[in-house]
Amino acid sequence: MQKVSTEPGVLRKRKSISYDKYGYFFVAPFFIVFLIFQLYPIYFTFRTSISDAMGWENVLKNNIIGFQNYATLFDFSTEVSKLFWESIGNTIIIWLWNFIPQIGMALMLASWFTDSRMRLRFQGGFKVMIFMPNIITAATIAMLFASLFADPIGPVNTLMQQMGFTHEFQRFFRDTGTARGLISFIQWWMWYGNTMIIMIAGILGINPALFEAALVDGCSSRQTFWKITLPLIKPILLYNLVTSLVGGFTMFDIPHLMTRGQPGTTTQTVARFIYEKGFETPNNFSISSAASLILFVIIVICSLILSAIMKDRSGKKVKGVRK
Amino acid sequence: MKLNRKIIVSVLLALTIFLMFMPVATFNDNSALEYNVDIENVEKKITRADDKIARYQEQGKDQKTIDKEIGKRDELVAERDALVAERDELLKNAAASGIKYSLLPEKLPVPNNNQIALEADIKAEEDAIKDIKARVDGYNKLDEDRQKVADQEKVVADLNAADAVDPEKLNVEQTKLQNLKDTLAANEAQFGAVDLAAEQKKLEEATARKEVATKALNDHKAELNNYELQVDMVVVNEGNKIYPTNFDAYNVLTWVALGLLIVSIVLIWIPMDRPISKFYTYASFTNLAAVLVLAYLILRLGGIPIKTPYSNPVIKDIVAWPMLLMPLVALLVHCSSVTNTKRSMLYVLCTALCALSLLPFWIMLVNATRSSQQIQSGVSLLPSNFLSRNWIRFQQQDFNALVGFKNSAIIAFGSTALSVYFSALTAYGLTVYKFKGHKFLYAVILAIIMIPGQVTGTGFTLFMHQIGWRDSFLPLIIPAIASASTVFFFKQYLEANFQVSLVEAARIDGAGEFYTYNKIVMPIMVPAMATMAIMAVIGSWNNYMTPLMLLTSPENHTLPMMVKELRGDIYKTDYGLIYVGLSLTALPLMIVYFCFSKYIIAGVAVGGVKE
Repeated sequence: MQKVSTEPGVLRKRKSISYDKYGYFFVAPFFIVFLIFQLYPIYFTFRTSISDAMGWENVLKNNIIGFQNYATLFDFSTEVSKLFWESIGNTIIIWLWNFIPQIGMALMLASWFTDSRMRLRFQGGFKVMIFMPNIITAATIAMLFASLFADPIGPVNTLMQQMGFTHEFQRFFRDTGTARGLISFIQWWMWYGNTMIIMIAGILGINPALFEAALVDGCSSRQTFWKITLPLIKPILLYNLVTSLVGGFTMFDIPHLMTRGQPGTTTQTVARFIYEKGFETPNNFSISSAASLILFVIIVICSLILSAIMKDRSGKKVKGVRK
Repeated sequence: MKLNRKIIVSVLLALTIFLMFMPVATFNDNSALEYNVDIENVEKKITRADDKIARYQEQGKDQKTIDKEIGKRDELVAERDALVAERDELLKNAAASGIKYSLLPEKLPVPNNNQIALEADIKAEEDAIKDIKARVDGYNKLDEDRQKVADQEKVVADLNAADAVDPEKLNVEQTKLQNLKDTLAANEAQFGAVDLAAEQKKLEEATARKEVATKALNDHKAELNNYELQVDMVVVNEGNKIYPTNFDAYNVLTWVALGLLIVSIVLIWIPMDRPISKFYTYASFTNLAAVLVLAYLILRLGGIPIKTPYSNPVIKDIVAWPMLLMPLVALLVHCSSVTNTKRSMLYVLCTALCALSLLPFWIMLVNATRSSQQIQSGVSLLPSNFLSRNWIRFQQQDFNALVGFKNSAIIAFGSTALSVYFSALTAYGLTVYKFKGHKFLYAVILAIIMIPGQVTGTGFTLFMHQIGWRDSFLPLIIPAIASASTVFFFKQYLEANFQVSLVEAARIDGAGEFYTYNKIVMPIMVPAMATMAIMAVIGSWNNYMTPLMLLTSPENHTLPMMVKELRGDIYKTDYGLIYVGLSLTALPLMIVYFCFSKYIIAGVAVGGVKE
């Protein structure tokens, strides 16, 4: 725009100035709805978190009591606070066990699918099948796995007995390890296809000339992957990391329906904590809101840290290349 | 394949073969545990003695009696300590005195178990004998019946011959006669043709066979007693589940695994120093098969119940894991050295992943067509014919799928329409008009993408409660106007596929700004809108937490919320029903997905690429 010098360009510039104010009308609905239905609820959450709102009857007639709820959540001796921080710990464990295999599998599959030397066929079909679990309602999948792994009679239990791998049924949901492992597995199973497709798109977006140059210079597949593909899809990796982090911290459907936080409270996630506190009797909305906002802050901080780490490194790499 | 790689692969496979000859499981001698019962008894006695002493002291008995009791108790304690020491000593040696088992060359230390077959034989013969006896009895009874008929006929004849006949009595007797005749006719039809001699012969044969089988069973049991290790048949037969106890097949399989490993090594060396050969691929397949067979062998070994005094097999991790991992590593090394092998293995891997994606849903659909009993008896990949029965039973439950469908559809399509139209509007506004602050607003939109809906859920619900919108569809539909990721997608699309000159041309022709958008820009965006619409419908359809917080009355519940009802008691006894319910919620999505998979995957791919 600034470099306009020719006659028609000047003309266009003048014209566009006269029309630019219409832009406000076009974006107005979005931002009005955003302000009312997203920004205001954030304020409302904050307002509730510093009040004593409890129970549906007098929820709107609450008093401001200051940061007492935050104090409760940060006072590690109370039951509520213990449960809250335990659920954050559970969420992180479950997320890590899902995310690390997920990104690893997705990266490997993406690099194989895009490897010009491999020339894999049926890629479309493989992608469609691998992505499918991501489309099905998480609630349905949670109930499906709850019945598949049910005890004493569930398909997995009967199959293991049919095969003779065990002679007594396994209580998958009574054991912390298998219960968490199953949630992580389902999350992995639902999302690695999604991550893979994003990675493939990212790799295909890289200038093919780079790969050709690498091929000419005699790079092996592995070298190409580590030296060219990976550094160049770093922004996409970051995006994936952040979205997965956000999704992981707000994981609700599967723990809520499949394990209900059991055994004990070892699969209690933060989102489930927030829901349980606010929407099950005695409807302690203030604690629920305070927990929401703490979670929000944690997510923002984690995202910022992640992007700082990733950006810093890629910046150094680029400088090195230029030299 | 390079020589050094060949050597690495061969050595790893050879080490695996070596490990097959190492003890992979032990059956510990658990006889020490029998002491536990004795120890427990003695401990009970000690407690009783303690009570007695306390009681005596309370009652103020003289010291001598109390001392006597204390002495008795001390004796008991000493006895217990001796028992415990003995048991611990035995336990310490249990692993050493246990039986070690290696996959090769030993056979599984349990004889091939015919017990079940023999018992079935005996039962069959017993049934046959019972049948024969029933027939012979029936035949013998015919004479009796005939006698009865004759007697009755006589009675009737007598009555008829008498002078003063009571017609009622005559009638009764005649009815009796008719009944007896009927019985006789029926019995004659059934047993009349019975050949007594032949039946006798059959009976003798069956008895002989039964004796043979009984003897075989007794021999078998005696033989079993000679072995130290025995399969716990009680556990095996528990719950009418007959686990495959065919250990001959198991022993054959151990040799198959050995053969596969050897073949893999041989195949690698056949092509000599050629870098590419089909034999490498064959080798990778035998290698893979060996890994799978070994995994099966070890898992199966761990599941064999053993009778006391020996423990169930204790798998030694230090042997088992390397035995599985080494051929796997060999396979990976192999794949990384030969491109063709890698490609074949990738096909195998991708097929396995596809199966993994499909299998849970396939089992769900198949189980929806099976009866409760079939589901209990095992997993099957073939459908059965109980779907209509399950469906009828399912309709009798409270699960009102139609209401859920309707609610989900209203929310999904309503929010999608708003989201697509207004997001496109916003994206267009941000692309075409360079008004003040448009860059800032775009940055805001990018930031909004990262705000998860769940963290504002509580505040949002309370806000909706405040304005009286709770338990209505509006809070699930209206906010879709501000869907940031859709705006982002449309902006990307517009920047690639749209030129401002089009708008300028429209302006010259006198079109208003919104007219231009509706009539010229929207048609250009149809492909992108279709993609985003599918994504938005699915996203809204699958949403669970927000409707759960907002919608309270059951007639407003969405389909995902209704899934929870499948936890009800009826579904715990009638297993087929839960799968019918789940299929009902999953199948529409699967159909939509397979119809539009191209667009959906394209949408995901574009949506994720952000700079």
